[in-house]
Amino acid sequence: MKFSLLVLGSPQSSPAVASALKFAQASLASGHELFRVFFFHDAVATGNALTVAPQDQTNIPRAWQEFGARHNIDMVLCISSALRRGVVDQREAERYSLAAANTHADFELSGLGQWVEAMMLSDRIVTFGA
Amino acid sequence: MKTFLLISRHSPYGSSYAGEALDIALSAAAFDIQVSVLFMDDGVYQLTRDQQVAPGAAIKHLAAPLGALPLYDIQDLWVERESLDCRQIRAETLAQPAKLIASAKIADFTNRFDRVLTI
Repeated sequence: MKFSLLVLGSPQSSPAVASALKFAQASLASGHELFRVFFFHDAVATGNALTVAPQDQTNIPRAWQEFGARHNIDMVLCISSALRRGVVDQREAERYSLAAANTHADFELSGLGQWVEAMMLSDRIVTFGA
Repeated sequence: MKTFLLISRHSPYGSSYAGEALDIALSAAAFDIQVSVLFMDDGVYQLTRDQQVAPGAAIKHLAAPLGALPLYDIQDLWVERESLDCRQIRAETLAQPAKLIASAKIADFTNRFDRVLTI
């Protein structure tokens, strides 16, 4: 089955992003396909490459980044959610003359159309946190 | 044409979820998808009249995206009857015309749609 995930909660203060990761891992392990993972609202912080977690806690953004890279997952950060929260790639940093970019290279900043497309082309959509 | 039901359950200004959910509905309509919206729980407050947002507030007024729904041909609006009742909101006072649906009918109702998303 082809799944797409909509992730809404913050990786630091809600279980949504960690639950989505567990679901993604389990679905691939069961032979399903992940068409796209769309990070919306506070979940865009998952694409921030500059987070640091205490030593005894899992760094959830990093765990997603490693999982996505290993399995070549299509991971999209909603561009308007991301800009508002200071998650920017090089292109947006230049466009808005910001001091730095912080988005992990495996995430793409793009619009809601990416989620609408994913909804229509997947067999199932699953939402995490709202 | 595919059909899509957005179930909007968040209050209009306690978070940005309500506005963002409407953004998804508008985006879907722009993709030639037939969109319906069901308001339930605190989401019914989105439809109340005379909403005011302080000038310069960090949250957007929902009048713009709600007003845009008919322009995007999103006319099929629903509101859960029990959500209105327990908040003492009368359907005829809502700012947008929406059809009432009883909560016991919602499970069957969602089966009519190709996709359902709850925010």
